[in-house]
Amino acid sequence: MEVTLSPLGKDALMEAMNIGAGHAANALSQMTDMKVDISTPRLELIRVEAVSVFTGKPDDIMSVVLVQVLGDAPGVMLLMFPRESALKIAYLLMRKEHALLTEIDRAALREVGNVLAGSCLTSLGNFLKMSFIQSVPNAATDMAGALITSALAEIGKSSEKVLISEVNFMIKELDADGKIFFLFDPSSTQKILDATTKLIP
Amino acid sequence: MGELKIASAPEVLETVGVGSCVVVIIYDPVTRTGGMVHAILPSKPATASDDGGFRYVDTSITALIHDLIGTGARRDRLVAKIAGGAHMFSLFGDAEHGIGAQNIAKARELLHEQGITLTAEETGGSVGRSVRFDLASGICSIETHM
Repeated sequence: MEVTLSPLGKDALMEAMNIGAGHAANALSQMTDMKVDISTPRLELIRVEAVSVFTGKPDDIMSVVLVQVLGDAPGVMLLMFPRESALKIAYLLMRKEHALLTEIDRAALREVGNVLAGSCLTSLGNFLKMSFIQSVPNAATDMAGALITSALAEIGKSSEKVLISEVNFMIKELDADGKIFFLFDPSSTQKILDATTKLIP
Repeated sequence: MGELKIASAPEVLETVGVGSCVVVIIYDPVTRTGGMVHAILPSKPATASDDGGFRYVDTSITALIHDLIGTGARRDRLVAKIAGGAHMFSLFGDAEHGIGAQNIAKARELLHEQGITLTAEETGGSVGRSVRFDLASGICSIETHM
């Protein structure tokens, strides 16, 4: 299906993503007991293969927690940390230090992803009056390009375009940062757009 | 990603961060000309718009062979190597039926149909790859980051 994104529609979607990311940042702040800053969302409806403009250097090593979004508007949520930041966050949560991510660290990161996705999707659902359900989280550490394109390919199976939204977050005190990505296919994008127009009286 | 590149020795073709996508390299060892595609999905659906680019394995391989022959490569000398098709996230079903496996199967099938020998492959698993192909030597090197 074809969806066009008007400037007003884009603003509404950015506001929705901002609310979701804000709640996720708040949850991360409570988990780490540190201040978490977030950027304004970057949001585009682009062709699936054009997504590399979002991934930065595709061979940078990233730790990713992936959550499938189910319910009214299915999609994918990705939480992406540079490996160093993933280690710092895992150390902080596990209160110990070593040079590699162990299975327990990965479990801790999956749990971070779980909590962040939960708070994000709940707030997004409340704001849009839609129901979002999250899958169990999946974690992987690999090249950014390999991870993002594999998630995109799932959306690409049924559509040529994808709505991608990116929010950066920073924990200055820990010198750690990361990104939250939302990926929705055009039909989910349309459902979210419809929900935002209902909010404007 | 979604790209087709053609070059001749001494150039090196390269693509990084290959996950479930598949990279197909086709090479004429005599003219030392070759091409690389980095496709995302197995086949172009009937409903796809015409400008599917090089997103699909099937249309990309056909285009790659066509373009190579256009440069003076001979079909009966062409050989192929493939890489990629990993299963990065277990959430997306089991590995045997994932997009990665479908991409690999489609690439093998198409090359067989076109009568092009597949001389090497480095596919599957759950790890991302970077692929370099040296047109002077015909050597394909794969880098992974564990």
